Amino acid sequence: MMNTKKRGKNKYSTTIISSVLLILFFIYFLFFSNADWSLFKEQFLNFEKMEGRYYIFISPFFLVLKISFFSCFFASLIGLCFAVIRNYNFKILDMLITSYVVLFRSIPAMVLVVLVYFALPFVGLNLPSTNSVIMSLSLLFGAYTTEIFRSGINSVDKLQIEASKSLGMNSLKTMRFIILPQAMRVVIPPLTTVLIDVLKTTSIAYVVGVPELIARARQMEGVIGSVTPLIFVSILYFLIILPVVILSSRLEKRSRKWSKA
Amino acid sequence: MEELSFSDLPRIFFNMDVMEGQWSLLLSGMWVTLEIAVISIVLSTVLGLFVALIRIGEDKLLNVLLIAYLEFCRATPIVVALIVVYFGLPFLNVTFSPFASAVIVIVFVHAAYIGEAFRSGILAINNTQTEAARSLGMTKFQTLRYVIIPQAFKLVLPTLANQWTGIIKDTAICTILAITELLKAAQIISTWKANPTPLVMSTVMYLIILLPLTLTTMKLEKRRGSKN
Repeated sequence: MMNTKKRGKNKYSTTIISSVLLILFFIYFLFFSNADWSLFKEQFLNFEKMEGRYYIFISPFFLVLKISFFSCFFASLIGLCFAVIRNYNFKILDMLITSYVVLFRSIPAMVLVVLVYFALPFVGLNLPSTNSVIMSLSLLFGAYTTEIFRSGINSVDKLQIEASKSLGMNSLKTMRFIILPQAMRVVIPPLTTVLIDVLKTTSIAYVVGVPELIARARQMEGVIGSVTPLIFVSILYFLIILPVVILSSRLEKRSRKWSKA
Repeated sequence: MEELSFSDLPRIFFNMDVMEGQWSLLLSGMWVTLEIAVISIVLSTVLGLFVALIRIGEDKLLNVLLIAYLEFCRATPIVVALIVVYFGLPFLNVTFSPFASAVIVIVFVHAAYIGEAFRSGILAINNTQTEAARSLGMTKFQTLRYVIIPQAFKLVLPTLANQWTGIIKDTAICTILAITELLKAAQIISTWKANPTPLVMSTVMYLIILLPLTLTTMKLEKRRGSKN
């Protein structure tokens, strides 16, 4: 009897302590910091002031979609090509691609975007800001997709490659008809994760003066004297990204089930 | 524009004359970056462990709240969060210093991811071990402290290292606030001297910090992959 009582108490102790800490934090934040919550509605959710101005967000909205689409497209292209090349085991190319992956996995997105936009003009390469963002994001996420595609290609059973060779298929045909279709199934769930990251990272374009959502929101914030546009933009981002997040976790669950079976 | 040849590239991108007397600013920027990174890494790891412990506690309400928190962090760009905290909250008379808002946002977002990593690590430990430890008379806390968490930590180390790399990378985003961290310092010098060398140097410094981490992460991932 004693024992069960004790066990029950222990089971909930971490939960209780943590929730008490959380609640204390919120109480502190709500009442004891000098936050003036009466201003909350007026400053943060003042959608009356936004009326008639929503059209301003239409073109930046599509710009964000455009940047993410092209970045994702080029990154997948880079990843696919490099992964296929690595599959053939040329020593020098292997080393080059590996160092590309390591290098671009280590550079912060912000640093690359700034570098491409502010440093390249010194050698006469004046990329428009949108293109420079697309270029940097493609290069960055190409490093991730290379690894994703590589693990996809590696996941295909070696016996199948031998079988297709003995059927007289050359290595290009084997790649095209045997390996890649099967690799796709493995590759798509992690690719959606990359898509989420790309969508989130497009917000960095704000620094190099791309007229995207945040830039417009900050302009409007100055005009109407309220933070509501920013809140609106965060909701917008949330609405763009959330479906992808849900899709990604579904796909991951399904692939886990599939690999278990 | 004058014609450029390959031999001009070092003069433009690696012009050490430009950097003369500027290293101190760049290094102090690097120091600020490291400060933000280390504080954020420690805090978000501790907070993430807490989040994971609540998630495995199976309290329905708290679980739902934390799942909402995770999804929120997954779907919010860090730039947006930073701007709302630093430029938005002052409208409510809550003012954080740029440094504090950087740490708050980074910790808030990454704790969610780290919590998820810890949770999957803890769940991966076989339940029989908990039962064995409990039957040896260990309390729930002791079981977690001495049996589960050490093993889970080993399991999640690659994910954790990846997340820590992400935190260091995200410190670069704090340039949009008024912090003179590494990238901002480089931009200041670069604008003043009208030369991209400081930007290149700052990239090199980021690489010096991040390359070892990335290489270790990749090695750990490979090891985990071969174990499976």
